[in-house]
Amino acid sequence: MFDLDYHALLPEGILAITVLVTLVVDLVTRKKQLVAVTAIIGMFAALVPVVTLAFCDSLAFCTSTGAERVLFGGSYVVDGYSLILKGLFISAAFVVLLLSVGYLASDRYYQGEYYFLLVASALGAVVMASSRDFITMIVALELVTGPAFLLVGWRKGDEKSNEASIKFFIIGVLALALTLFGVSLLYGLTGSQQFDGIAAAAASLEDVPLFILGVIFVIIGFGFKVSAVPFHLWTPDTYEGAPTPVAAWLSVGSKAAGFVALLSVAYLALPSVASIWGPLLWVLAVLSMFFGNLVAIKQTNILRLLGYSSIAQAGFMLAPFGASAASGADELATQFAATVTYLVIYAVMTLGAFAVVIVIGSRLGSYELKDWRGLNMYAPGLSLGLAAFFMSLAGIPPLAGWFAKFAMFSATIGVGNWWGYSIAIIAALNAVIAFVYYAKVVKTAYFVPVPDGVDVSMLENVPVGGPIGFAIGLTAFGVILLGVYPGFAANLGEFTTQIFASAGL
Amino acid sequence: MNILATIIPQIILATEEGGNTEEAAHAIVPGITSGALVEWAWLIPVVPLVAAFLIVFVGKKSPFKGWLMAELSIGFVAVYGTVLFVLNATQGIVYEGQVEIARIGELTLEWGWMVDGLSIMMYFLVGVVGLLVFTYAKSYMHGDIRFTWFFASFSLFAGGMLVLVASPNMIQLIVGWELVGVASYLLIGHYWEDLTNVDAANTAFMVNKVADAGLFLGVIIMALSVGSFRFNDVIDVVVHGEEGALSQYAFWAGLLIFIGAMGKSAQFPLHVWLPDAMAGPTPVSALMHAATMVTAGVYLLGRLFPFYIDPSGLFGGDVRNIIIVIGGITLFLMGFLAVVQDDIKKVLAYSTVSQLGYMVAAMGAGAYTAGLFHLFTHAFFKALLFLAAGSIIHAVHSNNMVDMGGLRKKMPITFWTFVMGTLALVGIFPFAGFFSKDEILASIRYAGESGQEVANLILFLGIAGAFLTAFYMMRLVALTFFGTYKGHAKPHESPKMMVYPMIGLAFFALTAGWVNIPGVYTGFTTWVATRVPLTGMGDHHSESFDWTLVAITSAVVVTSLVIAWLLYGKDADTQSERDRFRIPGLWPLFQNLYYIPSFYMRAIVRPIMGPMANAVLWFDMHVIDAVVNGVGAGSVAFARVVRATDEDVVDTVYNATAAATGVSGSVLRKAVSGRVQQYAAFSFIGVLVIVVLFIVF
Repeated sequence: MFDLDYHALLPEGILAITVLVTLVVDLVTRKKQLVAVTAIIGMFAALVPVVTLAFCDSLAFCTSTGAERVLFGGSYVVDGYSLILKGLFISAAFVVLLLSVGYLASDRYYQGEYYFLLVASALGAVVMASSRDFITMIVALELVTGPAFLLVGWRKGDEKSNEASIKFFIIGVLALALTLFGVSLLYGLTGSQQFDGIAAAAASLEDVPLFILGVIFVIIGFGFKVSAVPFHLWTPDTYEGAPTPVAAWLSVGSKAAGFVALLSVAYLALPSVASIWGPLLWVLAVLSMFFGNLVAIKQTNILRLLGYSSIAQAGFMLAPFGASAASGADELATQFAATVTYLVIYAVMTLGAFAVVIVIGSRLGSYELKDWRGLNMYAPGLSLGLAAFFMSLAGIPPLAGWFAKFAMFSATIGVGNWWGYSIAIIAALNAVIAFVYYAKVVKTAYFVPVPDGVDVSMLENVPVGGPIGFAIGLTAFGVILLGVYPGFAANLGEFTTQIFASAGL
Repeated sequence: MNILATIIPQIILATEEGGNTEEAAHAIVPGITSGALVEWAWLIPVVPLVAAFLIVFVGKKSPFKGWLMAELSIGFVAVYGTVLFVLNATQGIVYEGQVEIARIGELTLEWGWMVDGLSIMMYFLVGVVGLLVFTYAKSYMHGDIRFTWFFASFSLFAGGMLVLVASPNMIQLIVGWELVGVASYLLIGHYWEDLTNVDAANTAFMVNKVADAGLFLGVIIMALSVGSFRFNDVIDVVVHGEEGALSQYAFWAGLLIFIGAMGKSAQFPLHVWLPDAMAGPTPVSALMHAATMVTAGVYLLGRLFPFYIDPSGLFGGDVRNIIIVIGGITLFLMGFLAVVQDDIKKVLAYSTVSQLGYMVAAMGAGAYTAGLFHLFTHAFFKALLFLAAGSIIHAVHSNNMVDMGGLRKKMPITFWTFVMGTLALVGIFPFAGFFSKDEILASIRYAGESGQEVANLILFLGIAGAFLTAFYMMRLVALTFFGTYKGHAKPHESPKMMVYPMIGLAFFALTAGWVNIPGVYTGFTTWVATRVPLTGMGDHHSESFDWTLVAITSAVVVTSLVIAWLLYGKDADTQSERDRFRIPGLWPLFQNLYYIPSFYMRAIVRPIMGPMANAVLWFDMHVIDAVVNGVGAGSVAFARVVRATDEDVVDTVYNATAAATGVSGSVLRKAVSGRVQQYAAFSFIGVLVIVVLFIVF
């Protein structure tokens, strides 16, 4: 029972301890900053074993066990794929914590519990990345979303925040119910709830209606988590209502967790039935892109704009799935890597965009775009950051976003059939439409005079320092580095495809 | 019969003898292939980019508020470019450096720098014209509230353009392509206090984005089928005439890439942004929207020239006919629009579009040297015309020619340099444009004789275009410099810092054509040579002038100048009256720019921005809600039925809901929780629909 690979479980262990310690610290001190510091230190500490695990081969003290470490009878696997996503989740949570510190201090929020919940949510995401059976995965996924339900409603006096929380909760529970229903069907038909067991049995079940039904329910359940159209209805309301750092966590951490679920289930559990989930996700990708982008054009509130933008970006990330519709199980690695690459870059630039938006929005006291006019006149540094992150989201090189789009296009076109070509063409169209609203934000900041009645005193000549300044610097560095040296992101994507080799596909 | 058919076999032969293409290339293009000079050439794009960043952050405190940094960085490019240009002219240079940055599957991404004839010519152009324009801009922009910002953006442009032309692969090209696009956006919108300028900037960016999407897809298709992003690898496949993935997708790859080129080089029907782009400061119009940036599309066609010329008939040969037709249409239709403009910069802008049409048509006719030669000469004389126009605008504080007239005496240097630019543009011997335009027309004629039938038609358009060019330029000169002054400001000659660059460019406007005189000296042909020596095809007629064509065009140009002078120049006092002459039927067509901008607005932009986006939004807010309400009512009714049969279960659900909503307060219960149930119900219906669809199909 105690014969475990503790090294492999160290990130989760550190996070679990951090969760508990934050509670204790909250209990014994009145200085709530200490709780934040504890959470940030714990988060940073959890990143260390992820790195040592990744570079295990070249470290003297580490007993290497080859490409993957299998635990709990195959239910829990630590390999390149899971390590990279763990790294992503922990880094994202780290940045979100940095964003939260100043935000929470600015008003009368409950602080201790906030950090407890956020770290718990991150723990769920980290467990998620390693889970290789449905039970572990769903428990982990609910550990991600459960705390998020509460965090969304953190602005207690605010009606919008409450509305957002309830909405998110009910939709989340519905999604869970759908997924569980699907899982029970799959379990009943394949006799396994581990991914490799399902993969082995799936090929012969391709034409069984109940099996198809199960696959659809599982995929759609995750479709809610990644806010794909038509299961997106909660997203804009929730982004607008939630505390902004929480919206950042939802659009990066929680969404990435949904994508991890989709990636694991589609490519690991159901690789042989791409003909079922491929067309389904093709449709969801196309709807998400068109719907997200077109509605985003009309938004006047920057948070809602980011909400619809994240729907559209989810569409771009779903595109490689859709392109796989006619691919055999041995041809999926490129599409898999493209989504992972996109996810990594998306996380960096979205967090950066949120960081800048939080600084500007909270200091101006408004997230309405019309109040942001002429930003460059009084806050040139912040508006440069705003422009950089939004141009990156639009995919303008040499900022990181272009490479995400590039990886997506080359994966979809590379499929070599019309599932791929069609979605590439649709994505190209949408990249142009998306440009309209990203450019609108930049234009607002640069090319329009400052309106009367906007109090700019909080921004004029006030330097942005502290944790959030650090977060902006970090993400800005990432956006430039990944854009100029995209090999890093590509290698991460490539690294995760080892999983196909080790699965013997 | 294909123009290249006679040349290609020799190349392949040489390749076989040499063992590999590189050695073979050295055998044909001797000279510098290594050494510090070319290995450090990566500094050419990097220095202006670094300068741009420095100016943003410390520009305001640096000498001359950032101008000096910009000037020094572009000066560096000018010097380096000139050294390379001279050495290339005397010895020949072929070099390619790269640093790997990423691998995706089989594909490798690299940063690199190309040092060959084509790139060196562009380094030289950007450096020398850039240096003169930057110098000019210091005075022109004097007192501007965003002086420092202007030079930061301008340096960003220079760096981006050099990244573009230095690129040995298609990805880096796209990076540069987007960088110049961003710089162009910022600079067109420089005077953003006037809202129309912001609209102009947006138009430029959006039109280019549409084209860029084509370029992006085209590049990916091409790279996936060749297995490499490098131009050289694509060209090797083409030169060897290998059938395979590239030949299979060649038409689409070639067409999509050409669409990208059409956007940047403002070809019909994507030309709409360039005249609007004149909203930017005049130095910007001179350097970016006339001399260099807009030629990027022509440059790209030059880089991929063997692909489009397609000696084996397996690749982009079909696209070539599209290219020549688009070029021909552009040069002809846009010439008319230049005739009816009253804004001096717009006349020059449409003239630029028209001249770009000549270059593109030349590329489509298989005339590599001719197209690039015109690019080279045009950069000098069109930059000159813009700077001179800027000098006038600076003096009379208006763009409109109605406010000008009689400036000949008041601004003598501007007048004489402008006349030299005009003579070069309309193609009067011995000015630069005479040689380059003649070369293009002769090449098009040759292409027609060699079997490209559509070229015969384009030749007529080309000659007609020469007529139009002469006409609108004479009109411009007459309305601006002759007659009586009608403006309100007191015009006087511009300061020295503005005049000297104009004189410098005037020198080139006279001499730039002398580097390629058929039968006398044709050095330019080898100056733009690349690794694969395909330039030979441009020279077929260069043993002597095509005298018939020279006679015809010269006669047409002189006739046109005389007619225009009679209409606009002769009677000074009534000359503005004479400008009111109308061509029945066609005039509104020209005035409304062939209705193309309004077509775009009505058919594409407004439907997307308005009805489509509104419809989706409305659908989101109303239809879905209505459906959901219906479903909600239905489920309530259904629940009542169920309740009768299964009191316990329903009670539990109701109690739970009541508990949840009760906590959230009464407002929430009414406004929100109901809607959430509807959301959930709607989503569930979505699921059911999908399931049914899947089961049925």
